[in-house]
Amino acid sequence: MTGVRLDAVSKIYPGRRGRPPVAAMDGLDLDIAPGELLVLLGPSGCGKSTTLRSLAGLETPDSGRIVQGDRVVFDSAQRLDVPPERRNIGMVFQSYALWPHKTVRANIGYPLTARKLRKPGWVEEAAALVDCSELLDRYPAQLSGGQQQRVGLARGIVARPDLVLLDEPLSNLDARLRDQVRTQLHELHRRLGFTGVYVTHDQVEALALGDRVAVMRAGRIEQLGTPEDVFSSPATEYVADFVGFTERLDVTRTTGGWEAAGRPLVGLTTVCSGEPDKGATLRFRNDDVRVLPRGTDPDGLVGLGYATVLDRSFLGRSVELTLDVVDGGVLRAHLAPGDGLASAAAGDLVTVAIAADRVLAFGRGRTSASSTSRAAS
Amino acid sequence: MTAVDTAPPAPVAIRERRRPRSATLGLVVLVALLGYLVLVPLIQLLVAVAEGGAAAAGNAVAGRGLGSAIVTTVVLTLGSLAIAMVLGVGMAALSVRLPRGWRWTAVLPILPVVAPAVASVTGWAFLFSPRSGYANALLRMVPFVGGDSGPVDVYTAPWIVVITGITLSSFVYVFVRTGMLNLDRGLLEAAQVAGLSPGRAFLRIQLPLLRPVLVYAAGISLLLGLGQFTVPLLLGTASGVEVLATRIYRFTADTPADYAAAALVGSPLLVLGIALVLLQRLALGDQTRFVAHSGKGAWRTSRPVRWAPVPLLVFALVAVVLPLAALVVVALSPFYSARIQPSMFTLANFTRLFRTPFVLDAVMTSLMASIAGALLALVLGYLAATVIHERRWPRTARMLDVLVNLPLGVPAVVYGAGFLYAYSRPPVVLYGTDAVIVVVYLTLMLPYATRSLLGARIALGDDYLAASRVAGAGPLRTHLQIVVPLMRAAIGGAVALMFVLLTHEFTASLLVRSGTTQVMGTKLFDLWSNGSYPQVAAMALVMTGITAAGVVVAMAASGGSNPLERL
Repeated sequence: MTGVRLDAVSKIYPGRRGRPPVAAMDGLDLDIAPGELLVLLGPSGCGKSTTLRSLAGLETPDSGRIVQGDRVVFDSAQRLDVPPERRNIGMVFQSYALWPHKTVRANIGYPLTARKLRKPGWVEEAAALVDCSELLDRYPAQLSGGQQQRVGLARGIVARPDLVLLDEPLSNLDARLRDQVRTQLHELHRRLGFTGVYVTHDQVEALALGDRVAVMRAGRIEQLGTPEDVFSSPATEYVADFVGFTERLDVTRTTGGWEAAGRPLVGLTTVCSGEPDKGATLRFRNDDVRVLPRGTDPDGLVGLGYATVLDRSFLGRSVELTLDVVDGGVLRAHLAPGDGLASAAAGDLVTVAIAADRVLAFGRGRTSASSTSRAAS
Repeated sequence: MTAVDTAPPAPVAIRERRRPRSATLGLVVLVALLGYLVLVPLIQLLVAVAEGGAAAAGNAVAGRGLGSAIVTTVVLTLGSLAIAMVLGVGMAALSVRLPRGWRWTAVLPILPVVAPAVASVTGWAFLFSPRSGYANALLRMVPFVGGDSGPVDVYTAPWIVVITGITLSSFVYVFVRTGMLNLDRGLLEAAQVAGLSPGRAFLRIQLPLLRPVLVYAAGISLLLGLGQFTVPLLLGTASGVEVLATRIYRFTADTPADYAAAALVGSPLLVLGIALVLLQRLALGDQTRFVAHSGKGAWRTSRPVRWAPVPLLVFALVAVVLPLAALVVVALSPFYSARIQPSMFTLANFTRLFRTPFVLDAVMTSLMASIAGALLALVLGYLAATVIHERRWPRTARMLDVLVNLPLGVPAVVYGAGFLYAYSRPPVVLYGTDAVIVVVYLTLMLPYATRSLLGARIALGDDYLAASRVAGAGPLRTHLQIVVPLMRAAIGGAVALMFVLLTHEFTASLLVRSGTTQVMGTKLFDLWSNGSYPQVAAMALVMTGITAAGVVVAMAASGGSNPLERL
């Protein structure tokens, strides 16, 4: 088992028809420990897939160096680029990419035959690991999506590669299957302990599977940390938005504290430092928003002011209220169905508040990690 | 965390370079080969012009009829284009509104492409030649028509225009029908829900949406009309109707051949052809390349039209069934006359045909050259499609794309003159051998092979290949074990399509044939020139039979769908 390291890897796609060039990887540094499953998380276009494909050798970066174990597989300075077939990797695709003209057995066994490895029993063993032993003589077209992706997993690990690359492997599955296969994948990694890189845009997958999660943006890593870290202490507003801090409120600093749209925010004193007049953006999760009867004193909470209920929809586990905060934009609050105000109707006037320790403050217009801080009362 | 932080790379890795020399070398060989095949005949024509100089220009202009040939060419092109667009678009619109149980009739408008042009044109002549034409004889029985010749004279310019238009309408039909099937049916349903009648929805929504397809189809028809050779040659020669294409042929067929004059006469066609290929690339560019054909179509965009099959059936009757029937009657008759005498029907024409010197040879040459040409074009087309698709060498890919499509844009008669001139002089002298036919066929088929394989390759996506590469397989194993097997339907369909097109091939074959190398089409032309009509009919039927066999194979290979629709 080996680790992988990227040193200042860049790939810029030239802009077409007057559009500016796009950086898929912008001086990317990354160190993946042996046996670690690292998740690259980000929206489409952030460069996560390009990074994965560069690790596979399917894409050629413009510059930088990639070291797999003790072997340099890419180095722009030496014009070295080891082709994918000589990198000893396994890969799992979003589209499954099982060859339809080969049986499941031939699909799983292909990495062994292609590398001229005679390993009796390895195919059966890999199939057993993903519960596909009975499917070996079928063709991919005869399998369900979940079965196909499990076969894809078996093909990815059968030759015991140094590095397993997973490119949004669960995205084509429907919700229920996705959970199932995700659980199996986690279990598989726990048992085999392969070094892996997993690309996804789904925060649930990223948190559940990653030993560490790297949130990417425009070819750079915005935050790298354990799932717990990233989930509870996003380093930037961008990461916060991505891991569920979807609600935002712009605030400005006054001599006495903070205010939103000219209204003082009672109970909010923060350690957000520097440039007091520049203001900040508050970020919080929609299920942390508290909705109170109009006029209630938000004792111990940060009062966000009055709001009009614009709409109410039932989401099953919760009720979503769309709220027009006076002069403060639109917020969504998720309430437990039993909550007193969960039955509020459109047009009702309510008071909105939030617990101070559930709010993140980010310096306005800045994205670097230093500008952020947890609000404290 | 890894063992290496600042250590130099392992020495073993230095050998592992991408783009090994062999790949670059292979690319150079491929580009050189394709460049030679496609460009050298055209360049040689330019050289001929340069060498011929002013004398050639004099010859090209001298003699009567250049002006009228130009006028006839323009009239033929525009007239047949108009007929083809109206017929093709109309039939396509009906073909997507066929009632249940009649949908098979959608294949009928394609039949004229599948039947050899020389066969159907001679069939038309047997129907509508002014004195002995069967259809004319029938029409004379209509009151007030009468007379002992006419009313139709197939040997005149207007009827040459009509017949060319009918032939071209099949191409328009294929493109427009495919375009209609690929239209998002939601757009049309929305129009109808919004209250537009089906007719207005067709005119106001469907036709504007189809504009790129219509422009493309019109462009192809324009090219084919400009270079139209078979119809004017077979029907117009005796009556003195001449177009630029037939004039080019005359310059090369005369002794001594005047290539410079032929090239000069052909230059407008050459320039227009190249311009249209480049324009098409600019206009369609990458768009078409990445449009996924969902296959789900607009079958139920609007309610089926009950009478929709009737025009399609009439078209098939007029364009295919009647000419073929005329061929059968003539082939079975001892001699060609307006009176059909079933009692005298005989197979003697077929026996006599095959006793005629070189006829059997011509059939064998046709088959051999068609198979060899198709297979070689397949190999080169596969390689070209791979280079164009992978974009590892983007500039070379764009260049190759234009290169392989040139034989589609430049009229076959111009290419034929170029082939003849280029391959009858050093460095590569092939004239008089079967090899020249194979090389010519190979070159003409490059666009078809590349386009259909490129389409299949795009549809295949890249994941299957990537999965093979990361599994440890090199490019060669990946192509042999993954790409080729997955594309076998497209490959089979492409080979069969090319076989069909090549067994038809007449224009270029006529220019490069020699006394010893004949193919079916050129032999038929000789018989036609000699007036051996019953044997002409027999030969036409033999060609049609071989083509039909090819079509059956093509449909089987491409899984029942029509290979022509794949282009």
